[in-house]
Amino acid sequence: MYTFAHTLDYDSFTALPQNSFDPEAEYGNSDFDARQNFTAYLLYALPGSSHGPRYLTNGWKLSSLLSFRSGLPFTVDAYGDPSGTGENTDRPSLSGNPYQGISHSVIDHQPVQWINPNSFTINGYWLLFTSTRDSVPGAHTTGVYLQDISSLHIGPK
Amino acid sequence: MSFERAGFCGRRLFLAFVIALVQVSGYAVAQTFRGGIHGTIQDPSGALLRGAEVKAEDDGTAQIYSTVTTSAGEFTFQDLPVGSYTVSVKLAGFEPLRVSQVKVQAGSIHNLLEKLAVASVSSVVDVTAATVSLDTTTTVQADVLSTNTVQTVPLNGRDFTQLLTVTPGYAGYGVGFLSAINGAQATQTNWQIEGADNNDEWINTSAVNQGGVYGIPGVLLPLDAVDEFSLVTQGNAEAGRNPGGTVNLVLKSGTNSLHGSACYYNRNEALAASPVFAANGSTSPKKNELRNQQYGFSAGAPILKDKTFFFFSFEHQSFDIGNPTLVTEPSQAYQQAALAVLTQYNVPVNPVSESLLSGLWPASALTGLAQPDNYFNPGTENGYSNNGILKLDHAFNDTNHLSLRAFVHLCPYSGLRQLHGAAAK
Repeated sequence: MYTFAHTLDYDSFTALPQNSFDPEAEYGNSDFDARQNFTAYLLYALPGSSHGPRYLTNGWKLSSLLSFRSGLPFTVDAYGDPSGTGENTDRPSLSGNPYQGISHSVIDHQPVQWINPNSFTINGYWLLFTSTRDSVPGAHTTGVYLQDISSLHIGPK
Repeated sequence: MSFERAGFCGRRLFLAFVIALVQVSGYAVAQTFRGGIHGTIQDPSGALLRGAEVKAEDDGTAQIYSTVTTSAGEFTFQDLPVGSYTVSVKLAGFEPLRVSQVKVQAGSIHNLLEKLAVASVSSVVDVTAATVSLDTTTTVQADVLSTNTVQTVPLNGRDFTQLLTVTPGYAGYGVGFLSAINGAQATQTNWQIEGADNNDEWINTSAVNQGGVYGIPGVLLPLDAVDEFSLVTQGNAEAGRNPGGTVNLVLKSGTNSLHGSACYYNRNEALAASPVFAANGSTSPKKNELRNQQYGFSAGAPILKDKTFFFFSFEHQSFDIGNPTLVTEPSQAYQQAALAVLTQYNVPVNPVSESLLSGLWPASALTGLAQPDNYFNPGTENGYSNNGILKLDHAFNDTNHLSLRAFVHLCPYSGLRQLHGAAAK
């Protein structure tokens, strides 16, 4: 199953706006805005064999669940209350490419920096964001489950 | 995190409830949490036939449901237990008709359009229903996962709520009971078990299968008891309650023949891939302990043939999970710092606080510095639970059927046995 979706809202969970006098300015991608999603399940009844004991060579099923999802967006937070609105939920302004000079490859199992903080600038007193909520895409996820089941039929059909 | 904690409260609030309803047949074509058959009966010229006797017989239990067609030649069986049915139609002057293998699935209506032939000789016309019926009666979008799918798709922890991820409308956010449907929020899905409410009154999502919290095992619905899983979106007002969609489970029932199943599942970190990132303060990734065992069985049989049936399913889960994190504990250094402040202002030390600090924490957890994240918690959780479902069905006659269910979850938690839910319908 493939889904392309875009969800927008003023607030996805309980969070204060940057400016309580202008809640409309919170409109942006939802926290759960997964643009692309693909899931599939596969069930395969393995063909049995006439050799060997029936209860070991028949009735095996292979099943798999696959899931691929594009990254969920997140909001970059300007720590504290530089705007002076008292809400403590200020967002910085995006002033460049958030991935400038950033590599997402994992080296020596150490944490990876996802965005470059220097591409954001903190606004001054009573100057609010230019970046919207949930403006930066996060990491994609992939999940593959595999299962093997044997079912043994007892008694008459 | 807040969800987990809230879920824990919710489960405690989720007390036993009992609903008893006597099923009444009706003509209004409405959304159904089980399934239904809707049909139109015509004569060979296409004229609608009123007053034809229609019977639907459950092929598994031989239970019979009957009705007559309306002036529009229509009939409806609402809220039938899912399964395969044989529908027979009789009207004086026409040849009796029998349609076999009419599939009733959770949350959808099977549509039949049949023509009765004018009686010539005494015979029965036998027809086999099309395997796929287009629901032209309701506007709902119902996605039904069959028993085979429910029982075979790999589900982490044998948790039915994860089946939402393979139904259209799921767009990738949240897993299991926190899945978001059709752009609605994760708490805007209506969860039902055979039409009975299964919503956590605290966080408004599935009350069962929320998973364990800090070693307290969660309620687990035995997967072997699930006959069909359905997600109904674009629902009629009757489905109502939540804009995202309605998830309904249909439980298996006893039939005229003895049926049973048994299962054993084992999960161990030895079979898992190595994590990508290293744990705090380490340079090589280490697999966390992650062990889960589940076993269970189900059995269904008649008590009185064609009349009374039972179905029982049991599932045991025991788990051992490591989820290491850095946490903040009131270490000795913190306590000394606090005492220094109290001494400075001549405030006596509260003996209750003292005994709490000395009694609630093991000494090994209090060796950190006076700063946040001062303890590395290996996060080992373990616990077990026993979960059982009993379902009894009885047919008084063609129009009155009684069905009773009990779902009991027992787990060791503060020495209390928790009765999480019992529903009868």
